[in-house]
Amino acid sequence: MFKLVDNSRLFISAFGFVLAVVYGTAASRLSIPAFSDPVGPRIFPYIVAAGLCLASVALIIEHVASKRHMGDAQRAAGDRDAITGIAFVALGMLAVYYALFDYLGFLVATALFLIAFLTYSNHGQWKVNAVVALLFPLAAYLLLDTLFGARLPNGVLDFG
Amino acid sequence: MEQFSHFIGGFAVALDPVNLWYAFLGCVMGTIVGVLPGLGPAAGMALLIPATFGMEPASAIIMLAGLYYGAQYGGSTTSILINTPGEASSVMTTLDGFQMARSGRAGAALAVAAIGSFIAGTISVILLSVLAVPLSRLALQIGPAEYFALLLFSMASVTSLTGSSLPKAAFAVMIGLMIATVGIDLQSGTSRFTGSVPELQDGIGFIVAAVGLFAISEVFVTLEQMFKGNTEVIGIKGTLWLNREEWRRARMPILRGSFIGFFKGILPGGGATIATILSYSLERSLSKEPEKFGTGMIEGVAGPESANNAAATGAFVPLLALGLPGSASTAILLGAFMIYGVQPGPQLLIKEPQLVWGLIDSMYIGNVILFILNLPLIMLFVRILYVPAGIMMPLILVVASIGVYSMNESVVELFLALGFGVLGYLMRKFSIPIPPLVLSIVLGGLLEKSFRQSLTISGGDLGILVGSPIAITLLLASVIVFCIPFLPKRKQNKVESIAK
Repeated sequence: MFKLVDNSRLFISAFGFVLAVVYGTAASRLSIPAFSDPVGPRIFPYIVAAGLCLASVALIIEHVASKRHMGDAQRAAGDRDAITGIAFVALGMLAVYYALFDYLGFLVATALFLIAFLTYSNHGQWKVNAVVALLFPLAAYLLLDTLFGARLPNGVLDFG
Repeated sequence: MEQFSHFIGGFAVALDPVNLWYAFLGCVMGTIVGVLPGLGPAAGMALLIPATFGMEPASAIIMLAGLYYGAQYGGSTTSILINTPGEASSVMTTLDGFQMARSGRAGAALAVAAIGSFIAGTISVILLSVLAVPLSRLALQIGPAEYFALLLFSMASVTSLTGSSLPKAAFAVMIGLMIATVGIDLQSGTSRFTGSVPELQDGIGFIVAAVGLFAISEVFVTLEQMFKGNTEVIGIKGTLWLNREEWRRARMPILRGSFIGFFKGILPGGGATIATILSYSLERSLSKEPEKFGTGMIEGVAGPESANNAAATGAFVPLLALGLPGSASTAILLGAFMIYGVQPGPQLLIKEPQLVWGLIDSMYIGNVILFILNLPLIMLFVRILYVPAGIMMPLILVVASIGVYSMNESVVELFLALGFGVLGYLMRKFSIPIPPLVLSIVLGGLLEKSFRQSLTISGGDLGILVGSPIAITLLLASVIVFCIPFLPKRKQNKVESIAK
C-alpha cells in the first residue's frame, strides 16, 4: 500500500509532459494525404498536446500553492486515497478471465472467474458462492443469447 | 399548433405497448442502479447500451432515458437508509434523510423523496415540452464556428464545475481529447494513433471507455470499501406517507427545488449535484430554524430530491435542442443517440419529431411508473441492499464484460475496457474528475470536426471563430465559466461548507 496524495499533482504533471511529447511526436509523423482538408490531421492533436502541457504547468503551480496551505487534516485524508492490494487482486482475476474468455468460452470462463472472485470477496460462504458461480453464467447466457441475441463465445463447449 | 399535434402524436409512440414495456424496464433498472451505492446512471447506461442494439431507436432511447431519470429516484433510498448516496446527486439527502431514519421516520423521508421526485419530474417535463422547440429554432441559426464555440462552452463548464481542482479537470479533458483522436480521421482518411491495431481503426468506442471508467473502476473502489467494514441498513419504520404537518412543510421546498433543478439542469457542468446543493442552501436560508438542518428536517430532503430529478430532465433541453451534453450521464446518452443513427441537435426536432416527442411524452408516463415503484414497491428494492457487495460486485463485472464483448465479439475491447477501468481507478485515487474525460471522448470528434469545417470555410482564417455575435458571446461565456474557480474564496467556501 502506498500513498499518492501528497505529491499527486507533481506525478500527474510529469506524466502529462511525457505524454504530450510522445503524442505530439506521433502527431508530427502522421502522413497528410494530397486531398486532405486545408487544416489536415495534425493541427488538432498539436493543440491537444499544447493543452496538456499547459494543464501540467498549472498542476505544478497548484502543487506549490497547496503545499503552503496544507494542514494535518488534508494529510490525514490521504489515507483514504491509498492504492490497495485488493484492486490488484481484482485486476489480476479480471485479466485472467479475459485472457481465457474466447478459449474456454463464456460459460466455463465465467464460472471459473466467479468461483475465484467470490472465494476472495465473499469468503467462507462456499455453498452460496458455488450456486451463484454455476447458475449466474447459465442464466445470463440463456437470457442474453436467446433474448437479446448477444453473441457469446462457446469455447470448449462448442460441439458443432 | 404544429407543436401541440407533435406533442399528442408523441403519446402514440410513448403508449405503444412495446415502448411502455421498455419505459417500465428502464425505470426498474434505473431504480435498481439508484439503490446500488456506487453504480450511478452513467455506468448503468453504459452497461445497458450493448443490450439495446437490436431494438428500435425510439424504444432503446426511451429505456435508457427511463434508467437515467429513474436513478435519481432510487438514489435517495440508500441516502436515507444507509447514509450512503446511491449516486452523487443524492449526497445532500443523506444530511437530513438519514437523521430522519435514525429517529424512526424513514417512511416519511422515503415518501417525501418519492413525492418530491414525482412532482419535480412532472413539472420539469412540462417545461421541457415548452422550451425544447424554441431553443432548437434558435439553434438552427448556428454554423460550424458557433457550434465549435458552443462545444467549448459545454466543456469549459464541466471542467470548471467538476471536482476540486481546475488543472486536474483540464488534464482529464486533454486526455479525453487525445483518446477521441484515435482511429481513422474522417476528413483526411489518415489513420491516427492506432499502433497498427485493427480494432482501433474505428476509434475507441465510448461504451468501452464508459464501462471501464465507471463500472469496472467503481467495482475496484467498492471492494476496497467493503473490506474496510460493513454498512448497517436501517429498517423502514412508520407509514410510507406524510402527515398533514409534514406535507405543509415539504410542499414549497418541492416547488422551489423543481425550478432550481430544472434551470440548473439546462446549464452544463455540475448538473444535478450542484442543483441539490443550491436547493439545500436555499431551504436552510429560508428556514426559521436553520440550525436544525442536518438533524432530520424534512425540507432538507424535499428540496434536494426534487432538484435532482428536475435537473435530470432539464439536461434534456440542451441535449435534444442543441446536441449538447452537460454531464457524463448525458454525454453517454448523446453517444447512445449517435449509435442508433440519431444526431441530437436543432435538426432532430424537424426530422424526427415522433422520436423526440415520443421520448418526452414517455417521461410523463415514466414519472408515474417511478412513483409507484418508489413508494408502494420500495420494500422490494430495499432488499437489494441486503445482497452482500462481495457477491454483487463480481456479477457487475460479468455483466460489464458481456456488454463490451457482445458489441464486436472482441477480446481486445475487453482488455481496453480493463485498461479504462485501471485509468478510472487511478483517477479516483488522484482525485481527477472522470466526467470531463468522458465528455471530451464523446465531444472530441465533433469539436475537431466543427473546428476544421470552420477553417475550411474561411480558407484557414482563424477570424471565423470570432466572426459572429453568437460565437463571440459563447467564447466569452466559456472564458467566464472557466474563471469561476478563481472567484474570491469566501463565496466558494460558503458552497463547500454546505456540501460538507
